[in-house]
Amino acid sequence: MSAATFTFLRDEIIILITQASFFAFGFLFFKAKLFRDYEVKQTLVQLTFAGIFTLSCTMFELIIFEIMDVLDRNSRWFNWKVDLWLMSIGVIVVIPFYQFYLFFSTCGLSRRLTWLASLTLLAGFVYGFWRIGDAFPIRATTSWLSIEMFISRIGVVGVTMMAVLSGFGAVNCPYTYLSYFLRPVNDHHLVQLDKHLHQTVEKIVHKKKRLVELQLEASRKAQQAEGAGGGGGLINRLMTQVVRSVVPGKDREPLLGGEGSESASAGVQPVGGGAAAAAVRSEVAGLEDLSRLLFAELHELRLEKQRAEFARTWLGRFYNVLGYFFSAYCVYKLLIASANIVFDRKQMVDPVSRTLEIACRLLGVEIDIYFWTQYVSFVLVGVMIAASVRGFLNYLIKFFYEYSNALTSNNLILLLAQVMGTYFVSYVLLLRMSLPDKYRQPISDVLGDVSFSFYHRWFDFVFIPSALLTTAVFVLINKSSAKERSI
Amino acid sequence: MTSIPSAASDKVRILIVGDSEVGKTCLLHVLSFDKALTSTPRSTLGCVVEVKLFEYNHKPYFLELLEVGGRTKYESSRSVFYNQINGVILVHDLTNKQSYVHLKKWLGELAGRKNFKWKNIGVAPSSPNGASRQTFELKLASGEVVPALIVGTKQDLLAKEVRSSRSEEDGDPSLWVNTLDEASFRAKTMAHEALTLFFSRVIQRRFFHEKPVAHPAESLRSPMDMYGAGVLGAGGSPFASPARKPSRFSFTDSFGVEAKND
Repeated sequence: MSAATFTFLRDEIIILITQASFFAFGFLFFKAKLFRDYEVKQTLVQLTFAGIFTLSCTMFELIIFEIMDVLDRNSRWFNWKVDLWLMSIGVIVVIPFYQFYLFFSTCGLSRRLTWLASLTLLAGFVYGFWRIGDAFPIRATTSWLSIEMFISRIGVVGVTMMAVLSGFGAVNCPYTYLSYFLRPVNDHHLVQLDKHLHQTVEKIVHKKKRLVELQLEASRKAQQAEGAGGGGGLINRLMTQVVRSVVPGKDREPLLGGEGSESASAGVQPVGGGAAAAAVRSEVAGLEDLSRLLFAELHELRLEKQRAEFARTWLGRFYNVLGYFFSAYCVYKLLIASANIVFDRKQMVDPVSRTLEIACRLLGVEIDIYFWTQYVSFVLVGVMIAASVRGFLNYLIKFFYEYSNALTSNNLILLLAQVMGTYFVSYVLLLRMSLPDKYRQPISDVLGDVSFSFYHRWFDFVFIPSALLTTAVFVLINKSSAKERSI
Repeated sequence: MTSIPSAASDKVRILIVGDSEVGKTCLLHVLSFDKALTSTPRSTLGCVVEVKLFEYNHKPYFLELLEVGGRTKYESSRSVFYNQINGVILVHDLTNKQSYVHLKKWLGELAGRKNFKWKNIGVAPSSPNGASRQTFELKLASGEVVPALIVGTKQDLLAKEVRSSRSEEDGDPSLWVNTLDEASFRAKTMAHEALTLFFSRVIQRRFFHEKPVAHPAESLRSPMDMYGAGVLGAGGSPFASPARKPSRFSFTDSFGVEAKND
């Protein structure tokens, strides 16, 4: 066995071990955090999610290895290719197919038909995906079954998503961190709402009791009209009591007796009872709407109160300071993005090298650029990757809890796995710009023909409207809630 | 002749709680109106309250059934509804094991405690037909001890499930129902009897001040005694099985109960 093969095998084993740990993490994360409320019936879904997560983490791992020059160059390059190919196939072919298959299998078609329908839709999906690429100025020279074709298209979708999320996050972050936007909650108001809610519930109960009585009266009249019948023993008895208790002065008409029925409860139909009942029913509907509104408002107020209490703690105050930094950063990013588009700047120098250059000039010291570049890149990129992975997983959890229910949980998770793969691939494409030149090699090698600058331009292009739109929405929300409170 | 109690002091309120999407609203509807809900209801925001006429000892009573929305989002605000409670129905989805596991969290929420232990629970001594085993006692945050009942819904879907991890073998003290099947709630069925017993117990506790039935030692003796010869599953359902065998998976194990001899 030659030395090269040996090195290669050794590297592969190391990579596989790390991948196994990523896979385990993804698997457990799925079970413990995402599918907290549901039973895992389709293990394949769990495996798919863990698989995409593993592929994404491998990509990041390879970038870090590139910076720190761990493992052999050829092994890294090989793994890059394999990873990107698997990711592309997973996101474009495997997951959509599985989603369609799950969807059709719940429709109750025969196996053959399910497969056929899924394959047809998959073909449609792939075709649609292809057309996206045609609309954008991405390189299209080389053979059409190359990795660039897939990744470039995934990149377009992913970068759009990233830009929208970034725009939203850039505005939302300072908004949640700053205490300036918190309104003091009037405890008295809370107590009032609470009372109001209880009163409304009591009113609903009272009206529903009235409905029961009306219903019984109506059925009693119906029975009398029919000329007496058996089996009405319980209802008759109850009717007497209801009528006597509620309408004291009414004539006590002798009711026909009957043997007591076995049933110990009277089922009252939700319909019938005449015009009076219909009026009560509409009142009840109105009250029920009111109770929902009150509850929602009560909940909002309680959350605000919690937030206000949090802002008073030490951690809260720290967050407030952070909030100011984030707002400044957000404004800065907006300006830079606009400048990029207006002046059509092409950013060639990465922030690491630039910072080091500036530091050199300021400090007037000759530092070993090469050495420091490596470590600063490692720290910077490492932190960026860790933060974005963690942030994305958090968003994933929040989104899933909000929108999933027992029926759609599997499909939603697959969709989110697809989103995750797309997101992380695009992240790598954009990350390339933050890396010093010499570390860009592997990415540029494997994805030779992709015009990376296009993605940055596209990112800025979508980021600006997204951030502005979010700001507008927040301003509107603030204005309307301020109006409500002043009433 | 007694009148139907309608004064505030005569309120009987029963809470229906459980995870989101287990079928509480459907259960509420079929309990109050004896008719299945035909359209899928919206996720309950806040609470839905219905009134049920129940006869006990030949006297009619109005039971208020209050169903509370189970979304985790509203966990902090739900407690506004947890006052003046005279009975609790805990609902879980038979096709979703997690909803059963989460009942522990619900019990903790009602009891006002983080780690819920079943020390204060007593299971009523079994009645001849075994229907009472599903009713037990729960100590609320306010200090009262009220009757409680566990109901498992979507029994019809359970039969269709090929890969559910739940089987008839599981020792499970809940009442299995199918809220879409009105017939299974009519008189003389297992479901009807268990529910009647539960409501009776609620009224007994509320108006006649019967002491809580607490026989902790008796209740936690062994699964064998709990699930004796009774038939579980709503009567009339084609999936009702013959006498259950006791199994490893017992009620005590799943909720981390401590078997104490008080």
